[in-house]
Amino acid sequence: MVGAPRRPNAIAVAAILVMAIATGCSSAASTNSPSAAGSAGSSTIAPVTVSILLPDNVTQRYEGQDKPAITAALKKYIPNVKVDSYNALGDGSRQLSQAEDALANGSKVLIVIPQDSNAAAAIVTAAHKDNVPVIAYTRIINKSPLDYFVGKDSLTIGKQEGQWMVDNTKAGDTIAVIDGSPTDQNAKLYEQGYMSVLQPLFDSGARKLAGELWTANWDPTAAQNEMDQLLTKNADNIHAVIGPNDNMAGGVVASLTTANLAGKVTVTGLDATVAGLQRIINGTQGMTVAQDIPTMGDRAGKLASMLVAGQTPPGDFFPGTTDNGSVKVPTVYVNTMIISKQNITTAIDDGFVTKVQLCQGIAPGTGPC
Amino acid sequence: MSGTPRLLECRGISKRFGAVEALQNVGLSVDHGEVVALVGDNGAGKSTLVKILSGIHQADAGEFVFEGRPGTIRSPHEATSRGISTVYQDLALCDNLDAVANLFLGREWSKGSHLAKFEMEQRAVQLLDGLQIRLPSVHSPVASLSGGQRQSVAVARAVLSEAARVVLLDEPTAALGVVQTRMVLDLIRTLREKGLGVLLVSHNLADVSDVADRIVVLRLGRNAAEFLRGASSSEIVAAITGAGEVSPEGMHPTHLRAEAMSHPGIPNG
Amino acid sequence: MIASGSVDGALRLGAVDRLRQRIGQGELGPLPIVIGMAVIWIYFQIQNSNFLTPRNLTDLLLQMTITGTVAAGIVLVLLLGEIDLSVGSMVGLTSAILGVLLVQQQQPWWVAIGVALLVAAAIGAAQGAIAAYVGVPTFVVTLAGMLGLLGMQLWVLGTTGSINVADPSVTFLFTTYVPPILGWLGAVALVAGYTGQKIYSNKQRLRLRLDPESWSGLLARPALVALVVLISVGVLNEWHGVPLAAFVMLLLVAALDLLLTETSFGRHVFAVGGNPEAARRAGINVARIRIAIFSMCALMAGIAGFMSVSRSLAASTQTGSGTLLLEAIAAGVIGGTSLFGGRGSVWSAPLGALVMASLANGLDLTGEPPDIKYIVEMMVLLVAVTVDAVSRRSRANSGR
Repeated sequence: MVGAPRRPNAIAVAAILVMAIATGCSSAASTNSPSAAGSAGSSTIAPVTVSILLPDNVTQRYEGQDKPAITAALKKYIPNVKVDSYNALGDGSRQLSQAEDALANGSKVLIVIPQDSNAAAAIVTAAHKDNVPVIAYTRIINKSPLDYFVGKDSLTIGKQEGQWMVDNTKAGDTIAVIDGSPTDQNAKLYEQGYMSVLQPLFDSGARKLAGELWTANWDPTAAQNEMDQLLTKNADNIHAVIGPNDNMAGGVVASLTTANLAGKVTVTGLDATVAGLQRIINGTQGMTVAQDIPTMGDRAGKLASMLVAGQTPPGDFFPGTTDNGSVKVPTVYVNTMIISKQNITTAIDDGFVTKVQLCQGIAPGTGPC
Repeated sequence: MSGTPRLLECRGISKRFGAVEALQNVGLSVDHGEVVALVGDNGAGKSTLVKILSGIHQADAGEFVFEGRPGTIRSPHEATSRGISTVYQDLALCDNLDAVANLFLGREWSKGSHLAKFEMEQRAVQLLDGLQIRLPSVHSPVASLSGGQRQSVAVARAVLSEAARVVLLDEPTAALGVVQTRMVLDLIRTLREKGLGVLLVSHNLADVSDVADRIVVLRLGRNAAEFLRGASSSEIVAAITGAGEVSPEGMHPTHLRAEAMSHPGIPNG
Repeated sequence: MIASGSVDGALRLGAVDRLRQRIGQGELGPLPIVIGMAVIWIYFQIQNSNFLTPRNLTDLLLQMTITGTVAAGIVLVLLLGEIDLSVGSMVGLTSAILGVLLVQQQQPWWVAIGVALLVAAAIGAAQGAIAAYVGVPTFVVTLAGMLGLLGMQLWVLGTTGSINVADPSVTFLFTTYVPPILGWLGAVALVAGYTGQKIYSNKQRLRLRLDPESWSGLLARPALVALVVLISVGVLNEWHGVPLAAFVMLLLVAALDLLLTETSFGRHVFAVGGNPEAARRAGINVARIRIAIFSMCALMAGIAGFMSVSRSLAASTQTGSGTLLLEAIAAGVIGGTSLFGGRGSVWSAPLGALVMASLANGLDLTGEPPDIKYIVEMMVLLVAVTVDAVSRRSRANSGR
């Protein structure tokens, strides 16, 4: 048959290989290959490897704040530490492979933000086979003999959000509740928290529930669409909305803006992102909850240093325990703080955000800008 | 013999691929209103000759004469401009497009930036009618046409251009049933009536005997024999496989032609 | 069988006979999807009477605009028989560029938008070129593109994560509506124009002595278009009027459709999708077509990125992520474009996007959790792909 044979086979294979290698190296700071972020220390002491496993690079704080805080703490408390960090890029099974790599590279402690709270039980199993303890960070790992948890008390934070909502609405107000990702343990704990405060009021009629919707992937666009529908269902008769976090609160506010209700409807959030704080200054969002990430990272680093030295951490290191469906995991809770218009300057003072970052795009003279 | 020079004449065509001599000193001619069949076993050089005539390969040696004027075929584009249209075995039709679109593929008519759809359809209908090709609709995708109809569309495309002189058909009836084959052979006869030259490459000796005016046999890259209409299959097969003798005179096409003029219908060899 | 073109003795097939013939040959067109959407709409209206209100239908249009725009670009690529997996990340990247240039770098809007769209078109062309000249399958090229563009998006956004955008030069698109009077005028003009064009082209056919359109075909289509346009505008005018964003999307779709159906370039796109070898032999520059189409697909994604910023009032790391890519592809397929290349229409993009958005919207109104949404959308997509495959088979079988 006529037609030249497909010549570029070799070229195609080469191009695929090049591209595969390039994308393997390019995605964010580190993917499968560990990035050596620590010094090897003096030549007489063998370096101790501690690995940090991050779940994704879409949530800004993991790479941007948590990793630096943990790394700094590790270097501070363990003189000859070698810190390897991995990013699962949103893929739970990849995170398990990365954990196995970390163990094969001789990690003495694993600090894990699980991509999937349930699937990460496999990471604990793998680590324990090598006698390596696992510290879950900011998200719990369920149904496993997890060693330690350094995180926020999502249930209490949810309650704080719910309580603030009650304090900032009046009797008879209608509240819409938008929840986060149903596969995220934290989302469930938040919901338990705020609903534990709100449900009794819904039941007694002190507040009315406009509707409750869960949102896959914590997607702000989906949150915006859900808000559209909730407004339609309630003929705009909504006084307040549980965000629940800042990113999704942004979507909620966008929907309210379309309906000319932005600023008139109270919206709550979490995470104290720059965008969320800006909305608080502008009056379109009511509050957010900031986590003391530097302290959180420090606690994780200190704990790892004790484990590496073979010490058993003292009991008072852990103010509480978390039931993960299997054991009661010793837990360090990070401090949290509600930030609203009243104390917005605290965000700058306490170092969550710089004034330059916060005030970008905000009209001068508004609030602290 | 006097009169208009033949449509296409090639002499001494040779082509080698590396160590393989695909064609050696091969000659062939096609005249106005003549159907010439090119037959031979696998490896005889038929497809190489077809590719050279359609401009895909270049001959290492040999000459072409187009209606008396010598010329070259250096590319498919040049082949087309010399009036040689090729219809390959796979038809090269776009199944998702209708007959009009396929006929005009790559040479669509436009008014400004708009396709001149109605004008193209008119010309298409005119062409198909002139070739007595009957399709259920020019608007349905050619995938829904029968094998014979698809072949007809492919042939019609080859003669769409006014400049088409010689139509090269590569195994047109290979995949077709009896009725479909009939359709295609009728079409070939119509082409002949219109004064075109047809070079028909085929394994099917029944079709060849049915429609061909002359039969050129290639064997192992050389001219093996040439027959006129009426030759028996056994003679042709013998020439294809090389069994039986072939007289030296039988090698030269022009000699044959002279014979044919004086004794029409009498086979040689 | 009927000889085409000969007027004497020809049976002008009525629209019903032609429809039956086409169904037998697997040419169902948009019929299944339209019926499917009607079923979906009726179902949700029964579940929640808010569904078919002017307000919700307006919301629905705004909710499908971005997916529809991306899907329109995807349809172009699907017609070639290829795929572009990078469109989601492209939406994210262009939104990030827009946000950073506009808010952080304080550039004028036309610079921000211009740069974003230019980057999109260039990267799309590059992907097309790698596929066309180096021979890497588009699946692989655009997969690498998806990851690479995501990396670029995160790099552009830097430590910020999310940029609030309030600039009216960007946000106007989703907050503006066509005033009802203009909406009506436009609708009437559209219907009149379409009908007039049909009559004119029929006259032309008669002048060239071709088969004219059947009376039912001549009346049915314009009547249907009139019905849809006038009812839509009427319903939308009951709320705020025709949303500008949706209007822009439909304008883009109409322009692309014109390109595909009325120019030789468009004809060549279908040819390459149907049989690239035949197209090549007919003298069509297949490589150039691939590059042009991938560039246009990326450009549509870039426009969708701009729309995304306008709708969400923000550019963030999550823009363009999640299910956008798959929803856009699903929209194209559900709307009637084949995954195998060579058949379909750009109009299938907004149609499919409308179906998907209707599902999500309706399930929100009835308070369903996300897993139900995914399952339902998956089932609809499965039905659409099956219909496509079955009709493909019957098409192949109807030619003996």
